[in-house]
Amino acid sequence: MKNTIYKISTLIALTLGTMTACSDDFTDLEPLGSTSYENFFQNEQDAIEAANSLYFYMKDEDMFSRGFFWYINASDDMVTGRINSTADNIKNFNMTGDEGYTFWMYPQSYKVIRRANDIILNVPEMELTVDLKNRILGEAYFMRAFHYFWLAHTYGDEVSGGVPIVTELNMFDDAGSYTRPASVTDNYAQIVEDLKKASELLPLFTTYNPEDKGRAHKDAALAYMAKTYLYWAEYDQSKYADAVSSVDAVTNSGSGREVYNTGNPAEDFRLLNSHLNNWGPEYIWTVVSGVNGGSKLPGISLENKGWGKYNGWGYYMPTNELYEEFEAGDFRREVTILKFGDDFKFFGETRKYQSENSLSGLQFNKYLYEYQFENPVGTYINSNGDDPTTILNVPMMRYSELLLIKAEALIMQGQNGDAPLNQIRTRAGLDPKTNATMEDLKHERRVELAGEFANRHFDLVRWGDAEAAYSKPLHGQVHTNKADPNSPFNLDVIWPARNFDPATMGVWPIPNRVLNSSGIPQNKGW
Amino acid sequence: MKPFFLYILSTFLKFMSTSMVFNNASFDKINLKLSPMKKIFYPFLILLFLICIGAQAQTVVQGIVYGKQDNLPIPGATIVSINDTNKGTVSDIDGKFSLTLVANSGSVTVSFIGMESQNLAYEGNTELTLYLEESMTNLDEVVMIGYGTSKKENLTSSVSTVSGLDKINSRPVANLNDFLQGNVAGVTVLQQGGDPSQQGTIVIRGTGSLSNENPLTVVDGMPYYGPPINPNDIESVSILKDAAAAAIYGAQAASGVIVIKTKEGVYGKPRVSIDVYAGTQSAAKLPTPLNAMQQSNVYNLAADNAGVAHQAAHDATQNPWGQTTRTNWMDEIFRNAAIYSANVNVSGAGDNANYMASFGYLSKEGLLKGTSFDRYSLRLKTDFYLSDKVTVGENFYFSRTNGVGTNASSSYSGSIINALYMPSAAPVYDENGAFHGVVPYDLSQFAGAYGDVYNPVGLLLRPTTNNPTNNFNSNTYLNYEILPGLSFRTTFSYNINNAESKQFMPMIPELGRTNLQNFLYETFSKNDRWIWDNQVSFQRAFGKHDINVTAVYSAQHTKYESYYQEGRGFSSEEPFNQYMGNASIFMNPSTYVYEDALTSAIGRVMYNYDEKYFISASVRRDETSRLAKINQSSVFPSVSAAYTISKEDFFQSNVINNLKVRASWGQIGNINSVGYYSFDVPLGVQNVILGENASIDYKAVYANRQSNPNLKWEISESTNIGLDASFFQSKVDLTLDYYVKTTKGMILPGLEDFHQGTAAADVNGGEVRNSGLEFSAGYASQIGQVRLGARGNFSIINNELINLDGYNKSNVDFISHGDEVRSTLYPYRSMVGQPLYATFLVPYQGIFQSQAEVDAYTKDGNLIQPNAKPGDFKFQDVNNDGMISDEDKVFMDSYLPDFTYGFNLTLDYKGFDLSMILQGVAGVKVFNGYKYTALNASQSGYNLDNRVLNAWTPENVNTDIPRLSTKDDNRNFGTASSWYLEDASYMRMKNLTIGYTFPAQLLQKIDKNSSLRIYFSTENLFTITDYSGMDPEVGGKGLDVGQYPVPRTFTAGLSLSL
Repeated sequence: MKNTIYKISTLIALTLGTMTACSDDFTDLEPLGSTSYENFFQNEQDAIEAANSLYFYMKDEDMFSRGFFWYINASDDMVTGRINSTADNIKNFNMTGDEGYTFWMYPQSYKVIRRANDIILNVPEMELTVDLKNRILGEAYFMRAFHYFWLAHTYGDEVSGGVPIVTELNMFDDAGSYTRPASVTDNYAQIVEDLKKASELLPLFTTYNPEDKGRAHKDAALAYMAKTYLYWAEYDQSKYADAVSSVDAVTNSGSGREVYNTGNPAEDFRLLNSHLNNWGPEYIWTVVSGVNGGSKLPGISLENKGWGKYNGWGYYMPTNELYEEFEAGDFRREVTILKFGDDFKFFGETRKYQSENSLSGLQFNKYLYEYQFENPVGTYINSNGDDPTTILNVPMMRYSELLLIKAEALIMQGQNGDAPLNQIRTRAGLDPKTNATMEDLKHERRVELAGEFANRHFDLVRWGDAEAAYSKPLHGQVHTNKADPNSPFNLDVIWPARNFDPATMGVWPIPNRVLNSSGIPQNKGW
Repeated sequence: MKPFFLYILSTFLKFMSTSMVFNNASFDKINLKLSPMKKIFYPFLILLFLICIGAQAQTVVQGIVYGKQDNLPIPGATIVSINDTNKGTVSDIDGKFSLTLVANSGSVTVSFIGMESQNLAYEGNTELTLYLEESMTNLDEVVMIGYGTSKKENLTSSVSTVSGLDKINSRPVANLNDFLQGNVAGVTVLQQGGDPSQQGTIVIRGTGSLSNENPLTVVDGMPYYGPPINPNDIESVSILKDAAAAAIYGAQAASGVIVIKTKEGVYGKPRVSIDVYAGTQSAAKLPTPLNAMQQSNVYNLAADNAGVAHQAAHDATQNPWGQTTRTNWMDEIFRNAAIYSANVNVSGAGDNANYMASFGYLSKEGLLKGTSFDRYSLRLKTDFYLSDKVTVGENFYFSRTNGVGTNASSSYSGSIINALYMPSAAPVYDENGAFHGVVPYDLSQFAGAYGDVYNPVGLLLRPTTNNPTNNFNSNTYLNYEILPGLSFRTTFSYNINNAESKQFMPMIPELGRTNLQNFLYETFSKNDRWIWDNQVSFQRAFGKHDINVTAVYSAQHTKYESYYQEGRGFSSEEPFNQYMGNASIFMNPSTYVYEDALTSAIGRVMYNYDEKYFISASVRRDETSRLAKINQSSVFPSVSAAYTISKEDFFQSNVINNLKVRASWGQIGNINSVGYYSFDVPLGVQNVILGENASIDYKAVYANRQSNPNLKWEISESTNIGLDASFFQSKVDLTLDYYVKTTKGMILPGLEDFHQGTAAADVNGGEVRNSGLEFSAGYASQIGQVRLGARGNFSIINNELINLDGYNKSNVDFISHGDEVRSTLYPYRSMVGQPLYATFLVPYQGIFQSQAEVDAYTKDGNLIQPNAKPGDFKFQDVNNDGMISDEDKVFMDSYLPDFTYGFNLTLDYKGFDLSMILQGVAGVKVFNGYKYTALNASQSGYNLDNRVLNAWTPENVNTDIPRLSTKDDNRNFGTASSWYLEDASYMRMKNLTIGYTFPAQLLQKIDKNSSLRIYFSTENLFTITDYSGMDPEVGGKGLDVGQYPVPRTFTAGLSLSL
């Protein structure tokens, strides 16, 4: 027995002793699963994968599918096409800041900003080829600026201030320590600074391999610089000149950016707004989209339930006001808007447009090109009805808009803006203008960019036209028999006049959860 | 003899000392003992113990033990000499025993579980015949505590035993948690609705953390993390409620400990017991959707009230189809669900071994079609007595479970809410037998008016879902009694869990929410865990001094790995093709991996004098891998004491038999709320679309969460004062406890400033205090042939967030919670001075009955609610700024109950037994988010609850349902207001069981010791509540969007023992 005790005790003593000896190591475990922040940014692949992360939210439903479009939907160009009180209250400027539809843009944008800051902080020290390092840094500066651009004009003005500026210099500050700059122009200055760096670092998109298309590029940086200057000029007239020079920089960048014009106005605008021109001469910046994801705007603005063929969501229906804004003979009208009785191809069959659902009796046609094909599901359009994308890269900025920016900036400086303006009109099959006025410019901007992220609502705000525009009711072509494409219609009020206070409603309420999380003040009046 | 005890003790001390923060002289003294000179002290100590044993036997006491009730011999009764507790034996299969004793005269104690112990005197060689009576009280009950047992009357800390476990086999509960509801004071079981794949969650003494808290489960001495064990295997359960009781389990015990002992063989020939029951479950209360015509009328009225045109779909002439009711969707998704259970148990024990084998099968359908839970379980448990001193044994448990639940918590795709949304005009299936959409295909133009709705039956039945989980758990141990009273035990526990989760989602072609893609989601996960405990205990009485010392060194290690893959685009949806390899589109797979290690050194001393004065103290040092190196280890002490006043000579009372006061204090480190790698968080991975062809396979890596290398242990500290008393020959007993339990350095994600663009790091954010009073009382008596037992418990819980000092540096003194209804209503906030997860709402003040009332509601001449019309809600302008906004929210009650209670009654008469459990909670508030969609005509056109027929109209003003409208300009629904908050207090007949045990004589022919009981049992027979939803037990944080209701169950069964 003594022997047994001895044996057991030795065994136990040994095991316990060993365990104690290495017990410090026992609980000293390296994180498993993926690299951690401490040992990232080591090699080329790390840098590229970090840069890829900048684009994740491009396809987010709450960014450039609906997201920011809820605000654009407030304009006089469109109405919400179905019962939806949340959307209605946004359009009616009757918001609390708790709306789920408009929550995500703010935090998602700052997520991209954080990712850009990580790159700007870490990549300069890495050993990479000069071209790659420049490209990745350029992508980071561009994407940071791009998201600040959206945040700044959506939530910032001179009344309530800009949006907090978080860069690589203060990204690790404590939660709750970020404050709003005095004016949104501080944001614009920082955005332009980033875009300048980006435009110097980035290559022309024409130099990209097919697999790198969709990344930030020089023209995009210059283009957003132009638009930032245009918005900035609302507060500082001197920025119009900068807007013009930025547009010229794109035109002369060497990438061949020009208006898509084959001399066939009946066809050109249609083909421009199709996947065939995803990477065409007007490409500046888009949401890269395909059958596995991208911007859902085409499906969101499609007839509710797609006449039984597809899960269209039925929002964003054009108004009769927009329809009537088009001049006679403008080839863009039929490409932009479908009205009752219009022929269009859908899932391989020719239909006459009618709708029991559309509040206005109209439907945006711009994003419908990809639906025309027979059996388009899986090849032209996403089979997932909860993710109704098409292979059209939804435009964020087209070269046409740059010309309109230039024209506006010239006119606002008292110069002649006819040349850029008329490039657009010619393509549409319209006569050129001479000594175009701001009224001409506003008209052209409205019809050329209708239903796009160019942002008609914010145009009305910065032009000071919003109060007048929104104090009028909106009309639709309300047909007597919605089942019959040929039935007559009445021009009925489909949206009553709204109250818009230009002093404070030029900006939208910052989501309450953001305020609660950071302590920054809400925009005045909300 | 090589003093191996010394090795263990010194190793233990060395381990403790490496990080002990004490620097005082007394501790240095302990350290000094490690020097070679002092080593002599230990052999000396052991020598001392050795002196206490060894003597000569002289007197033989023999006898037979019978049960008084049935006159049957009792095998396995314990017979111990009172004078020399080391002398003892157990009765054999015929109830006979023989005990050889030193002293010529004295007395012996004869005891058996569930029987009153008897003391019998002997004088020389004696023959005894005795009859044990069934115990009416539980004072002599042996209660499991951490790493040992204790007599209930010797407890110094707050430990509750679970009563009624002998009847657990006749209750249709799938797991112990469900059984515990209403059973124990201070233990709240929150049913997570009635989803069969879910079990109730247990909260012991309030919520001390924002993370998911679960008490630690200990099965047969070892922590158990697998799926719920077969309730039929359970013999007894005790619940360690205060820190002093739970401290010995440290790290994982901050939310309390449930200590389970499984059944084991009793001395005698093999016994077979068979338990089977079958039953049916049904829903007690279901909502009623509008019929087809009502839906049209409601939407037309809503359009009129909003000033917009009627929809074509609701025009009887354009869409006559939409006027005919074809389906009651609630009836279509709910069913009378079957439940079956069968258990077989074989057990026995001989002189050298003790064995138990059990097999269990449970099949439980859910109330909702397509949902179910199945379990096969097998347990093998053996103890081998290799010699007087060495016992080895093992306990293997294997279970295979498959739970198929459904999502009832989403207000978009929840299965119950979709049964409400779906138009009553639609049939379930079309003429081809396929699921029908909101309208037939040839009326597709009207589909838009009915909203984005899934066919709810399709939602439940279309996917193929399987979640098989195989869990194997083994405990093996060796117990060596080195010297009488001194023993060493080593236990190794190994658990392997393999889970697979596979769901194939076919296309949804029908109109409503068409999706022409099919999906396969598949997850494999593997969890390996081992725990090794080494324990030395010493227990000895020296005269009236009784000392019990335990030292434990424990190590555990876990490795988890899961792999997730999504595939899309299957050319065929037939079962043969539902495998990942057949997908045509593969999303990048994702993996989740972690390792976790914990080591602990534990010491505990329990001492009592004359079973009158008790004191106990423990200290535990834990070291975890989850914290940064410098913060990995910490030491947690506890101390407790008790005083049995009734044992004092001066205490003379015929009324009070027993009176004891207890007090305890202790700290526990809580590791459960710490993320695995909070100190250095792995980066996130996403898929990004880029390139000319918009490919989705670009890998993106980013920091999605910040790290906190300074994170420290969260400490749960509790103080408990208790009183135990029994009266009237122990027929009445009561226990009263008051406690304060404080979570210090509560670990939670820090303030997530959205400007930082990442999730916040975990921080030691603040302090939460739970305090409360627990009371339980029992009565047991025999009146003639009626045996009566009654037991009630009552608990008051106060929960308060004391501070958020570490949450942020910006003086934000509240946490906004993300729980929401349709991304619009965010009802919860935790703020200092309020309970955790308090509701934070705009006060609802009724309905404006007239335009005059709207116009009169002004501030400085301006309308406070300019968009309001008669029939809209009036909200309180709390901050008096002339408008209704987020700023007007005030704190209101939470889902945490103010008090909970349970009452249990048992009656036995001539073989008949009756038991019932009444259980209830009060002061519970549910945020009834179901109303947001069910009563709201301004959503996307969904069908509604027929309560909207009672909506406000100029003719119907006595209602709290606002006027119907397709707009919500006044935000009647869009405001998170107190209109949604409802009292969900309830009292429920949790269980009612009637059984009959056949007379022993009747069964004698089959087998001498056989017994047979048949019973009928019902769960949730009735519920008394004011709550308007389907069931007040909504689970979670108390947010109801059409939660899966808890079923009412009727079962019949039998228990046969041979």
